[in-house]
Amino acid sequence: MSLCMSRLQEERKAWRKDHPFGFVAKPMKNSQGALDLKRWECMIPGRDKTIWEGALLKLEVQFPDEYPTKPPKCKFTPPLFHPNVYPSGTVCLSILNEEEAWKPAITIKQILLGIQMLLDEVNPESPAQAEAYNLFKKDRVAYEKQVRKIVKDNQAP
Amino acid sequence: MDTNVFPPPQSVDEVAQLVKRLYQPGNPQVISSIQDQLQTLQRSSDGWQLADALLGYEDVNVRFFGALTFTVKLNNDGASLDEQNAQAVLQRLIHWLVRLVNQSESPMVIRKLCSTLVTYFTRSPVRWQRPLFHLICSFSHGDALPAEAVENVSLHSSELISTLSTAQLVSLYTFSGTFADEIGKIEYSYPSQAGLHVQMEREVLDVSPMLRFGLQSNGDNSTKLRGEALRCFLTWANYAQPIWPTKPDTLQYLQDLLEPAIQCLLLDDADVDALDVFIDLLESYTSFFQRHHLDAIASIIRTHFGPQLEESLRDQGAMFNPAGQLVVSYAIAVIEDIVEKPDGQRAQVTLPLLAAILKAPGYPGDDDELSTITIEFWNTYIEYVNDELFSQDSHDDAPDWLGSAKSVTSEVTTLLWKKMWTPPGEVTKQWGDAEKDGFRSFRTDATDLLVSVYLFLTGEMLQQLVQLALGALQEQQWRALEAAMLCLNAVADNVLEDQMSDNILAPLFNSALFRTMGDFTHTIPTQTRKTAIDMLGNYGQYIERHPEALPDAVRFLFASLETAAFANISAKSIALLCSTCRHNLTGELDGFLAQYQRFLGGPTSDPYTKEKVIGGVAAIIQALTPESAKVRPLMALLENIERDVAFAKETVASGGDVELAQLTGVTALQCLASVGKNLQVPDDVPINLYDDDDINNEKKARFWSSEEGNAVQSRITGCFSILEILGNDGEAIDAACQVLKAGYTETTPGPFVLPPSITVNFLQQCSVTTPQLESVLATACTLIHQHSQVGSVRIDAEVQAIYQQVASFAQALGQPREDPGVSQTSIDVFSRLFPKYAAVLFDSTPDQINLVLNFTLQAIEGSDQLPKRSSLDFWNRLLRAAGPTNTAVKVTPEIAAKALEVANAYGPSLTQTLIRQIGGLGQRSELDYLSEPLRALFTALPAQAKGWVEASLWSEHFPPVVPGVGDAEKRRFMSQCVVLRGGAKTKEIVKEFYVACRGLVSSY
Repeated sequence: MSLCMSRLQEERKAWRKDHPFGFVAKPMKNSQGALDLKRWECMIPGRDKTIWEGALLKLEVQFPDEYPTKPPKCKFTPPLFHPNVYPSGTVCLSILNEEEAWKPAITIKQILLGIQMLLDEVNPESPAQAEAYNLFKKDRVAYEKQVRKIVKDNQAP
Repeated sequence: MDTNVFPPPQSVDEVAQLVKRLYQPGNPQVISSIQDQLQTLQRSSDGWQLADALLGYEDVNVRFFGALTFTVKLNNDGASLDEQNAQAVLQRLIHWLVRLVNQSESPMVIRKLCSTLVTYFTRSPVRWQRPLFHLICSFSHGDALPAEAVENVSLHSSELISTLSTAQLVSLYTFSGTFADEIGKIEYSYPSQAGLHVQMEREVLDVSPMLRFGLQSNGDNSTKLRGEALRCFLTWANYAQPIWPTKPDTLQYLQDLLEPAIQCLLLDDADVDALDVFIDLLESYTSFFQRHHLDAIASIIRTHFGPQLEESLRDQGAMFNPAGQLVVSYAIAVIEDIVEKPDGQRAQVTLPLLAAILKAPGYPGDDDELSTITIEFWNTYIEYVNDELFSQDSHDDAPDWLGSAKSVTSEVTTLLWKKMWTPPGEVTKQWGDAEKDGFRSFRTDATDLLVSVYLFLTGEMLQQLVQLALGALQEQQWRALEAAMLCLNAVADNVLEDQMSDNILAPLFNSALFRTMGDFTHTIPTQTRKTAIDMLGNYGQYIERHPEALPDAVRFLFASLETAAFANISAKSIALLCSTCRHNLTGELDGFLAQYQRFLGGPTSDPYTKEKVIGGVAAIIQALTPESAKVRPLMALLENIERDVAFAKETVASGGDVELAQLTGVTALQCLASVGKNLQVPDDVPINLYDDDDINNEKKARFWSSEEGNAVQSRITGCFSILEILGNDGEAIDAACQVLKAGYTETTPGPFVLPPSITVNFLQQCSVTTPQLESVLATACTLIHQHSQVGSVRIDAEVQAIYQQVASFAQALGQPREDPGVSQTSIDVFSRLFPKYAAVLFDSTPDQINLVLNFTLQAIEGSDQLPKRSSLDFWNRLLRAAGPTNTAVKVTPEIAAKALEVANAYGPSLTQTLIRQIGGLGQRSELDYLSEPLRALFTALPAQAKGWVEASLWSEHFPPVVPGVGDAEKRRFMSQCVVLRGGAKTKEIVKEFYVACRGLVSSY
């Protein structure tokens, strides 16, 4: 088995044994109905006591063949209103960047927790979309109002 | 306060005093000053003697510090010891170990000494042969034996071990465990370290008899010895796992110990230790076990742990019990046999127990700690089944075990359903957050598992769930019904893929379910109604295909809308269901309009619910034909919006509550935008081959330009009058933009398809201080984009007006950094001019072009990333229009000529700006954006580009770079640019040059 696949199986096992509350992470089905370990569907809850509390956001994680040498690509579906999320939904986060802080030892759990942190801890140094970034910089009240609306639209059951 | 209250110690006694002080509570500053002094001493050349002397002291902390000092010295100076000194250090360490163990030293000091000895092994330049044997011999001898003497010992380690005391053996287990643990951390692929690992293969010969002795001990101290031996055994197995797969003979020494270790499981005293060790090994290192080992464990489960677990489940419910964890870990380890040999011992001893756990009373997250653990097993089970079945060829025979797997998973479905029932209120009242989270987490994990089971059982499972739901409905068992609907929700996506499922679903959707739920005279738990609402969202497609259930469903939602606990989710579901099933709801429209009216007067109508529900109703209006039929209901909706607009205006005029006026006004615009969005023709509308679309569109167009249609449009635009009082409210501006955008994507006329001049006028009312001006500019971008599409109407005059206005913003700002947001969206408008409306830019006055282009160049120089990226995109588009591939970007020859002219004029300053960024001023993440215009420049004007790059590289404006980048490096970069002629590889050389300029690489 390739390094990529054996690592993904290990990740799956580790996730099943222990995962943070409210999160979901599981491989998606391919067109034949079998599981595709390289594409995961995840759910990230907003952290308590932040403006994102109560939200549950869908994220698709795609692992390249070179994983874990190369990081997976994480994409909110549909794209999320957030300064560090590209208009396509792709998350801009240093631990997901091969040239920055990605390390093969980083687990799926760490990635998802990192993205959960990013929701409330915006990184103003790495703007990825204009809409959320400009509002975040200029009118924090309006920004937070917009986030609360997203939370209502993506309420955790 | 002077923190240096202690003068440097002058004798070992004084050092010992200091150490004692260190371990006493006191002022943190004093403690830290003592620590500093002691650390200096530890590192000094006298450290060895000091360590040795401290180990002889009375005080246990002082002795611990002595061992620690040895470790510090070994870590710092161990590698530079000569042979004689290395041997001496080893002798002293062994001397102290033997002496202190024989004096019943505290475990803390013994553990430290053991780890110090391991540090000696890894750090000493002199190879320590057979460390464990050396220690065994020394214990046997009564003091440290010289290394040469050890070589002459003829007895085998197993003979010596039996003569040692319990304390001596315990210290040897501690040493061996630490030894395996530490060596395991050393990278085995480095040749320099490989020797250490080779030595482990020799060491196992001494370790294994010692472990066997401990595992089989049955004397007075056997409990202690077995426990220590088991822990040491686990460490060795963990060491072996990654390193000895290629050394089966060596590994066998450890595997041979499994038998006596398994026997420990049966001894009551060693129970927990042994269980933990086996749970750990089964989970992490299944291949360590050989067939007969696994059989032996199955027997023990059958005779020993199974009955014990059953009894505990009977008496205490599913509370935690390590035997339960052992069964789960074991069953996962032998999953293949459990699935494929359902009648074999392995399946027979485990499956009934695993089901019994789920049957036992208790609530997961509260007093049931075992069910959650079993989910992991069932996931493994179903995954194995699915993997096997999906990897089969379609003409393969069904495997023998298929029937048993079906009945097993079907039973699990029922058991999980029962476990998912929410507890009655009197139980949850006692729960804290931890219990609630635990229970919710279990439900999520269980529903996830059921999705996997569904892939296997499909229709049979759906049938089962529908029956469970119907039965519960019949019995009015609301919590049972809720759990069944929760399961149905989880599998909805998969169920709906298969239209055959509809027949199975029909009895449920045709039942009294939603009528009952919508009847608020029934006392039904909130959670049950919530899950029922979710079910409507999840099964929207079914309802769309079978509209019989629809009226009940939507009535239920409207009824729920008036209950605070469900208002939000009902509103969301109404929006979704009305949108997907719009065609089947046209008959209900009047009823819904009335319900909407009533809801508006109630306490649950707030901005969020109002916007969602009005959107839902609007979607139904969209489905009405002909166009004229839409007017009356649409007017009814607009009246509500107009009423809010009027209220807001009057409130402000009469000096009333401004905040309320603002909220009402903004909500009115947001509702209007929601109506507009929902009136859009859905993307998936089927193309009707028999109707003539052109004729229909023409009819449509005629209607919306008729007097009647115009009247609706002017009512819509009339709502913008709210901006008279909210013209400085960002949210209102943004909502107005949403209204404008609602019509842009429509290909046929409609009430929200407003003339482009409305957008232009709106923009012209704005200044650079208008809040949310970015949103207005983005709207203008969308307008230009829509009118650049193939087949769209050209709007030159409007685009010209937009350009003039946006250029005036740039002028008013002066510098992009004055407002990065407005600058970026303004530059985006300039970019959007390409290719269709490029003439608007090129035909403006030279002063204006100059203003715009300089503005974009300043944005590239600036530190704000978004305007910078937009500018780089702008230049890329401009240069592509000038380049030889301009036919691909669809510009006319006149435009191409003008673009070329601009490129020639601005090339030098653009190039300088780009090269400054690439030379290190920019950020790494911007390099891809920076490369694009550089590529376009070399494609459009290769000869000039070379000269400009050269001038920029050697210009005084080139940023100061590391000394490693000189003329040669710059020349290399330049010639690479030239050779690549704007090819895709330019990105790479830009990156390489950038990291070289920033000094991030050793060579370029």
